[in-house]
Amino acid sequence: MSKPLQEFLDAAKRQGTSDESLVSLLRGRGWPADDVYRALADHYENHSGVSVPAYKRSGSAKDAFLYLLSFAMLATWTIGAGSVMFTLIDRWLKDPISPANNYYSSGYYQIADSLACIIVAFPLYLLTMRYILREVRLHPEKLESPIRKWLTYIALLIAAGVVVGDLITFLTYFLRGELTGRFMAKTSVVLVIAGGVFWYYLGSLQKSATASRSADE
Amino acid sequence: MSRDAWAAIAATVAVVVVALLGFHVLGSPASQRLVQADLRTVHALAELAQQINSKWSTGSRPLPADLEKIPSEVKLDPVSGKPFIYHAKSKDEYELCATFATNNRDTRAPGAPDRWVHPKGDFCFQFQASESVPIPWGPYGY
Repeated sequence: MSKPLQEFLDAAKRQGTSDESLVSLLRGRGWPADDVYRALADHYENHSGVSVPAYKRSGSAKDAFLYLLSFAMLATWTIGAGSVMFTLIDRWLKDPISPANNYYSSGYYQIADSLACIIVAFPLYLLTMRYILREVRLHPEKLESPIRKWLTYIALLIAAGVVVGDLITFLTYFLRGELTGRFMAKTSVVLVIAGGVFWYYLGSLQKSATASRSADE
Repeated sequence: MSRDAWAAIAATVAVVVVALLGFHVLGSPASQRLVQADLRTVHALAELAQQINSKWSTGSRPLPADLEKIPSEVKLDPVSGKPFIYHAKSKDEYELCATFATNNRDTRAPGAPDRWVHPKGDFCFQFQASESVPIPWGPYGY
């Protein structure tokens, strides 16, 4: 810290100048805000003998890990659940003209794989989300973390892409003459899963927005 | 109750329902193992029939009375380790028999033809030596 600035601050405080006018005065002479506030902190540290407590940065890397993990688990279990439903729909609503595209793998293969995805990923997702929500409750400022917002919006973008892709695929089958019932059932499965995910995540982004607005007021 | 708690409960209920439906169709690992075992048996049997037909098509007619000329590893059911039972029924028709643990009518791939459908227990598949042997469905796991 520059000595002259420190001496000036001490002298000005002895004259009874308020912190606000000191800051605007120094800013007016081109001092960067960081330097001014640091000098003020040094001044109070020297006079009170107590040092300013160190600010602990909220772990951005940890946040990124938690959010990426939770989104990966979300993708795994939602795709697994959707896939189980699609296989079941294919079995329930038998379409004799649909090509036997499962000829070399009966539906079991798919169901076993999807069930394994759900069984592993869903409990992990719940645990991760519980941890994230507890962190947010303890440190509400984390609602504003850019990591959280960026990753949530990117996850929503990926989800939207998957939904659009699925709907296009189902519509293609439908236009090629697939049973209407199958088309409707698969489309509603996708819409229910995607609708739930969007409802929840858009809602929690909304919550952070209202929380910060009420904090500003 | 908070919105997060509601979402967690709704998602858990949905996932449990989907998983139960899935397991209802899939069955237990033990019953899946039997389905897999029968599938393996059918594939080995088809392999044997292909060898018999190729011997027939290369000129060793009529069909032999027994399978002496076929390598012994092809004649065994890989699951039970017992040999498949062969009966020549005419000069170009024969049957191959094996024992199955399940009825595969409902466990076959959707849309798969009836050619390899077998009941539970002993069953004989009929073959025509001049026809090609269709490939059974779903060799999965290998």
